[in-house]
Amino acid sequence: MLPGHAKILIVDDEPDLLDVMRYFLTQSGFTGRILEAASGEASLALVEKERPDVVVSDIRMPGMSGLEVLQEMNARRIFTPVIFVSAFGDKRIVMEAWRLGAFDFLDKPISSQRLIENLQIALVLGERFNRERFEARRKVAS
Amino acid sequence: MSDDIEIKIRKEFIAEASEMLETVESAFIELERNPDDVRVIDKIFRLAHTIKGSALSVGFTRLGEFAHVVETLLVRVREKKLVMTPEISDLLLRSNDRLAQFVNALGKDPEAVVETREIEAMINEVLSRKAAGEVSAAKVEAATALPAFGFFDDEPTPKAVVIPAPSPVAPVPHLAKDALVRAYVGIARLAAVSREGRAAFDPVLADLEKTLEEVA
Repeated sequence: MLPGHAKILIVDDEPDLLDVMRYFLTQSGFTGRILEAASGEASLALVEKERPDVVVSDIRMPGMSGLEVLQEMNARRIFTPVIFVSAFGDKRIVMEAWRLGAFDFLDKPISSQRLIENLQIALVLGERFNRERFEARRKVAS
Repeated sequence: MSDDIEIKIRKEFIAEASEMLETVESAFIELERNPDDVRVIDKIFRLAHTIKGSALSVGFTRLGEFAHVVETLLVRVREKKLVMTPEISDLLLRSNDRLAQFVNALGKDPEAVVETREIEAMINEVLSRKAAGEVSAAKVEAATALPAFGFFDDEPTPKAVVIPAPSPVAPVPHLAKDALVRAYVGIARLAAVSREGRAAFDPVLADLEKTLEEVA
């Protein structure tokens, strides 16, 4: 069970997919807060304002993509774990996302069990893991 | 992505993963000395997660999937939902060996697949044993009325103690529920782009909604 105090932001420009994620979360018994954003821009604003514990986001969205949001989060030193919903077939994007500091990936179509498992892992390892990875990447780059 | 870049990135992954697995091995020695040390478990956990993410990102999907199963076991131990018994410690050690064999094999042949099903089945068995225990506990709690999928919920928050009548409907497996949701979403999408408009699909969507409510 996901901790009831957790705040989870779900991001997708397709309302159907937001519905699915919300449905899976509530069906798992999650009682914490579910924040929703329908665009990259809106998700960035919510990340800044609400500081969710974890973000589950689509990558391809009109306007700001999920990867651009992650880049902007890095620039603002916000290390909230981001789980991307993506097709593993698109290796280039998955690789780029991981190098940018994506926390995890969820294959499409989303399975409820996998969603909950990945969220549990993100909530346990959390921001600290991402911060350490960010510092390690910066060291390698310099 | 050009083949050359892909080969280079995969080689980098193999080198990094081999190094990480060596670190995990020394962490296991620490764990034997201090089985309750959360810092050691965290160390193993972080490495397993990194191997999983890196493997998936370079296209070693089977390895990434296996690391995910190991990670799931570790999350239970980390959250103290599973006690670190010799059985679990042995499973983790064997998983680590198998991960190392897998990485080694991929270093020689990027298409290599190392057999992991047996260990995965053993891990899933441990996880399901735990889940089954939770289901029994949930029966005792009876009144939580939480629409749980039945996994990893050992923190039920019963609001009232009312024993509900046994449901005449057989429990619906998670995958079946997921399939229903996917069917619903698929049909809703078709409706959104169809010439006939949503009205033509409303009856079937209404039926699916009703079924979903019944199985929730």
